[in-house]
Amino acid sequence: MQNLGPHRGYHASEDDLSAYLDGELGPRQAKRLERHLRECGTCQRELAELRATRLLLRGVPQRPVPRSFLLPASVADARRRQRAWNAGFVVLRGAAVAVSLALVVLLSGNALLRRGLLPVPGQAGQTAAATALEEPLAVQSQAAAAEEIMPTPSSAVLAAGAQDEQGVLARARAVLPSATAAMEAASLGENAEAAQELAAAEEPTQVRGSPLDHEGPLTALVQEPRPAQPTADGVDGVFSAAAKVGDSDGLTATPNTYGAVPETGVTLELTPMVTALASTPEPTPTSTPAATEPELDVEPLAAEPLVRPTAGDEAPSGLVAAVAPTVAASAEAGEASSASAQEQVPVVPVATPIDTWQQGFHAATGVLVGVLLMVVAGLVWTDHMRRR
Amino acid sequence: MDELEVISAAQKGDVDAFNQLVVAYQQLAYNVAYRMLGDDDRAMDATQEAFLRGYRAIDTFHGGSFKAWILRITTNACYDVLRSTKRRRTTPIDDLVDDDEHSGILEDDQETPEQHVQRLDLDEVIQAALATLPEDQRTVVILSDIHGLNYGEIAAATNVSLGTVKSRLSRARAKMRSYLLDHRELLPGGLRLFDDTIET
Repeated sequence: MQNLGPHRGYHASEDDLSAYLDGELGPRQAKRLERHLRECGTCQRELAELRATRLLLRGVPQRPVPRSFLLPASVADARRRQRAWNAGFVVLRGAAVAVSLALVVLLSGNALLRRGLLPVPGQAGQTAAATALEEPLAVQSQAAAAEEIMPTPSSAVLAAGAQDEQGVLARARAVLPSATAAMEAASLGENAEAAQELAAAEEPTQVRGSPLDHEGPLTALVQEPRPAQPTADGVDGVFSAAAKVGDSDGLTATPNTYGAVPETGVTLELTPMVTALASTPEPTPTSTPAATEPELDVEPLAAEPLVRPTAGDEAPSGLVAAVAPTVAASAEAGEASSASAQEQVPVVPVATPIDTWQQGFHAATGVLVGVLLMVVAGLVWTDHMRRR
Repeated sequence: MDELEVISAAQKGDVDAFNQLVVAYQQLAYNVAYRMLGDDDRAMDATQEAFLRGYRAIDTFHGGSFKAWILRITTNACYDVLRSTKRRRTTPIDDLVDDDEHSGILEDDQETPEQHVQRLDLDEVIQAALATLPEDQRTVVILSDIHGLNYGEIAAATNVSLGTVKSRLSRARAKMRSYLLDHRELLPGGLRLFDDTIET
C-alpha cells in the first residue's frame, strides 16, 4: 500500500482496493484506505469500477449440468486393481532402490579393494601360509649364496667331484669368484635352482663335447682319478679344463687367469683329461680365432668354449678382459636357466583372495544388474497399468 | 449422514457414498470447468475426469474443505485439458465462445425474451473477458467473483498462499475491468451499471 494519508499524489494499490472490496484487508489498513478514499477521487473511481466488475461477474448465471457425472459401480473394481498396481509399484520401487544401493556398495567396495583401501577378506591367513611355504626356499637360497660368496679351493673341488648338476654350477662359480659374484648380483639366489635346471638341460652338450665317455667330463674326472702329472703348461691345462667346465655349464668364458693361481691342485688333476681331450680329433664344424691359439694344447676343444668372438680374439692374454663377457654370459645363462625352470616345473595356479574376490565381484555385479533391469522393467509396466 | 461420514464411506470404496458427493458438487465443478475452458464438451470431460480422479484419490483427503479439495482436482483437470488442447487445436477460445449458440444457461420461466437475450450477451462477454486472462488469474477470479469462495478456500483450491491469491485476484479484476469498459456497448445495461457505480 502506498501513502494512504492525505492525498499528496499517491494512490492506493490495486491489491489493497481489491482486498478492501472483498473485506480481506486488515482493520487498520481498511481505516487508512477509507481516509484516503475520502480525499482521492482517482482511487474512488477505481474502486467503483472494480466493484462494478465484480457485480457483473457475480451476476453471471449458473449453467445447468448437461448430464450426470455419477460414477458407475465398475470404478470400484478398477480402484481395487489400481490399488494392487500401486502396491506393486511401491514394492518394485523399494526393490529398485535396494538393488541400486547394493550395486553402489559393491562397486565402491571393489574400487576400494583395487586401491588397497580395504583389506581383502581372508587375505591375512593365506599370506601367512604363503610366507611359511616360502621360508625353506629362502633358506636354500641363502645357503647357496653363502657358498658362492666364500669360494674356497676345497669347496670347489668338492663341488667339482659331485655327480649332480648342482656341483657343476658351484664349481664353475668357485673357479671364477668375481664372475659368480657378479652373477649373484644379477640373479641373486634364485639362480641356484635355475642353474641346476640349466645344467640338467645342457647335459647332452657336455656329453657331445667330451671324448672320454658318455658320462660327462666332470663325472669322468671323479670316477677316474688320475695321478697328478705336472705339466709345463699348467696354466694352459687349467684354462682348458676350466674352459671345458665353462662350456659344459654354459658359462663360456669362466676359464681365465683367476682359476690358474688358487687352484693349482685342481689344475693338476684336470690336466690328463685335457690332454686326452686334446688328443682326440674334435669335429668342430666352426673355427674361431681362439682355436688357432698356438699356446693351447686343447686347441680343438678350446674352440668350443671360446667361441665368443670378443674374448676369443685375445686369449689367453686377453682372458682377463674376457671377464666382462663372462658376466654377461652368466646373466644370460641365469635368465635362460630361469626360463628353462619355468618350462620344466609345473606351475600350479593358486587362486589368491583378490582373484576370488574379483570373480565373486563380477558374478554379483552381473546378477545385480540383471535384477535391476528386471525391476525397472517391472516399474515401468506397473506404472503404466496403475495409470490406466 | 453428514459430509464427513459420506467421505469416510467413500474412502472405504463405497461408490454410492462418493456419488452423493458428486451430486452435491457437480454443478459447481462443471461451471468452474466451463468458465475455465469456455467449451461445454471439454467442460464435461474435465468434470467427469475430476470426479474419477477424486474417487481414486479420496484416500488422500485428510480433512478440511471438501469443496476446495474437489475444486482443486477440477482445476487441475482443466489445466490438463488446456495443455492438451494447445497441442492440438489452433482455434482460439474466443471463437469457441462465439460459436456457442445453444447456451445451456438455466432458463427462467418468468424471464422475458429480451431479458434472455441480454443474459446471453452478458454470458458471452464475460466468457470472452475471462478468455483474455492467464490461467492462474482466470481460476482465481472465477472462484472468487463468480462462485463466491473466500481467499482461504481459493488458496486451498489453487494450492497457493493468501498473498498470491490477493495479487492474482487484483490483477485479474483490473484486466476484467479494462476489458468490460472497452466493450461496455456489449453489456446489457453495463454502461449504465458502470456509470451508476462511478456516480455513486
